[in-house]
Amino acid sequence: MRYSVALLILVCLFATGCSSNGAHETDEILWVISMGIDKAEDGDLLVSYRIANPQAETPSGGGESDGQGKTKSTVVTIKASSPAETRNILDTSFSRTVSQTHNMVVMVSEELARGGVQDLVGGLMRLREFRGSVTIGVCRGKAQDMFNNNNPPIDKLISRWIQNYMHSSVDTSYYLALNTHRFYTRLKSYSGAPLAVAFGQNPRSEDDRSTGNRYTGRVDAYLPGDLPSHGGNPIEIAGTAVFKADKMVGFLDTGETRALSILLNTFPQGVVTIDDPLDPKRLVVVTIRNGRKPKFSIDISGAHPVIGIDVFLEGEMSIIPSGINYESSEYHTLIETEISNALQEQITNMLFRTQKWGADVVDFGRFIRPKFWTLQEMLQYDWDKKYLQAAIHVKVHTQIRRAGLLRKSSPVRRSGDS
Amino acid sequence: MKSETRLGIGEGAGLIYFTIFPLLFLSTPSEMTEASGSISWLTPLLGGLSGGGLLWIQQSLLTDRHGNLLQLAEDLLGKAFSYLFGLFYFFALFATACIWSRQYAENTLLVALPTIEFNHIILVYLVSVLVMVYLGIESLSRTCYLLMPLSIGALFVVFAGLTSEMEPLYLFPLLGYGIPSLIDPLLFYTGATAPAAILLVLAPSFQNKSAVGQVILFGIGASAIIRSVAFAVYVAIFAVNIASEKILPFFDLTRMIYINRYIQRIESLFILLWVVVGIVGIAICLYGALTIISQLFRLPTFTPLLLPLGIIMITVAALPMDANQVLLINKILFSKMLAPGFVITTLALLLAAKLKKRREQRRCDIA
Repeated sequence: MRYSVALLILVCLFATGCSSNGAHETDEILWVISMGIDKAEDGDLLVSYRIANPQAETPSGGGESDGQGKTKSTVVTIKASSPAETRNILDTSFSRTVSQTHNMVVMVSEELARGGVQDLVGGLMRLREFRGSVTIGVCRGKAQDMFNNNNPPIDKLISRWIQNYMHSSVDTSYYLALNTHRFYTRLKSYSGAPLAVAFGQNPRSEDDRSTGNRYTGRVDAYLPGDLPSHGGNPIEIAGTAVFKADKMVGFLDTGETRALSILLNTFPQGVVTIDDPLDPKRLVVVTIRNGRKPKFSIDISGAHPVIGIDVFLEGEMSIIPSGINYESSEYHTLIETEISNALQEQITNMLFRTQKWGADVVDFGRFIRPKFWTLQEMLQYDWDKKYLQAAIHVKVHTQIRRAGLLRKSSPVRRSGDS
Repeated sequence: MKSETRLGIGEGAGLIYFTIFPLLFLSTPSEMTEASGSISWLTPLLGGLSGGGLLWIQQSLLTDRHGNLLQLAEDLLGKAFSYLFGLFYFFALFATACIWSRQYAENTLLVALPTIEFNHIILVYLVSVLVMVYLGIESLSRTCYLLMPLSIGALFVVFAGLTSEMEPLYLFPLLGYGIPSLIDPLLFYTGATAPAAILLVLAPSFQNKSAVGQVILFGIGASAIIRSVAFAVYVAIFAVNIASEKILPFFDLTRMIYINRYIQRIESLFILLWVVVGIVGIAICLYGALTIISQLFRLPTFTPLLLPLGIIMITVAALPMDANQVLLINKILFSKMLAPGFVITTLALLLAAKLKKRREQRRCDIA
């Protein structure tokens, strides 16, 4: 017993120094919580680090300050030839040791992403401190500006802001929760286009900045930074950045991202607004979700692959302003057809657009894997080239399952009605 | 330290399990995936079959005789060849202890203690191993017995935490780089099973010889199945190309676990697991090497050799210049040295036993 207690004490003594921080105390470490990378004019990199101050705990209105003069986080931008060198400079500028173990976001400017991110991502994945769950994003404009202007009024900490953002992606699927692991896997795999979260800075003006793509009735689609909203944090996430190999080829807007989300089966629930089939002046709002995993069939026996997609959606009536009794089964079909047609068009347009980029955003290529015996045979097929010529057939079925808390809609009494 | 030991099936299975299992926490899954592609999950099973098969042959030869593997070799091959035989298994165990010491110390430095001197880390490994070996095979085998379900349970916790990240289609094409690509992994795993012959050196400690057969079945079988599942999970998460890149596949798997904002970054917990498994594995190999050398040279006890051999172990472990050289030596050791040696020694025993049996038969016929 005495030996056991002595051993336990000994273990505790050693174990306190055995942390992933290299035997540093917490207050000896400079905690980086996000990292933004821009291209400098002379070809160097401008790396912005947001650094947390764990001692400043209490929030104050509208800013990253605790109300006692201590900022909860600070942004430092450093110019150097590589991210590693910027880290050296950061380490030299502060009294503490830099750690990226709590880094949550790596944001790359659009300009840099279009030039290729192979050098950046490959380097990061080698780091012990860096993990695959880190969110990877591309920003419209400069990452440095995003970092300086990011001021979430609600979230207590910037780190919580991004975590909450990623967790709530399933609410609308207007953006996806994408991490570095999935990005890197697609970057190096035989198929699939790497995807990144799209960030933007919103001027919060009243201009209409929609992409012009109208999906499902009168609903507009937007790119990040263009959402028609006022007030709040100017930095927003919307849509998806699409890469071909390591170079970014374009952004998907909010509608296209939702279409992609349906195909990736990361669409637990979302609201669609469609024109009322019997009263076109009005709209009908239905909450939909994937009723089952989308079915994909890929035929590679011909000269060009033929991809068949079968999507089944389940719906729940949310708002029927016209008061028409769409809850009854004879009217269901009208709504179901309207939703199916709208989403079928939305998915087809999204796939058509990305196919032109040569980006297999859904990673249909993985479905051809079981059709080959060896990896060499599969590589010989050259999916990336074949995908450009693939014929894609999309079929969407919708089934209204529920009607919310109302059993039956009835029209509002109009003036003059007896 | 006790000289008389009694071992049960569970303890024996644990012992044999930990002579092979530590490979899972090193670069082996990545190397096997690089060699064979999406079929890498089959390599531990094939290795288990080949290595386990060779051990089974040795065990079956031992069944009708007294003593252990070394006495069997002396009986069948003669004194001179039995020395060579014993020295080969001493080399297999000692070299494995050396290469694992280096790799585990290197990996501890890499993932947990980046600012600590390598020498200090390997010294801690040495002290832990020496204590375990000094306490004897009973303590060691009971540790294995207790640790075995814990390690299997921990692995399944990791697999469960990663289900959302798995893509089963990455396990296709079914044959990976093709059937011929399985030859190198097969050789590697056959060689990696050679240190498990320690079990047959300890055979007299078991209740009866048939228990040794069960131990081989359970120990090698459990280890092969668990590693096979782990390889499949690893490839299903990282896909072939990235799975071939990693230096510490298991560590990278644990780093991927993200259940929610409160359950994440839990790899530190699993570092403890693989460090303990590594120490136990090295201790078994060192114990085996010491037992063989003491029996070969008819020493009453190996205790005086414990510290010198331990120091030699870490000195040899420190010789390779860099981590890639260690991986290369690891591959050469198991595939090109231990695998042929394991096959040749087993076949030599089998052949000698057959010849001896025929000679005895003839003698009986004449009589």
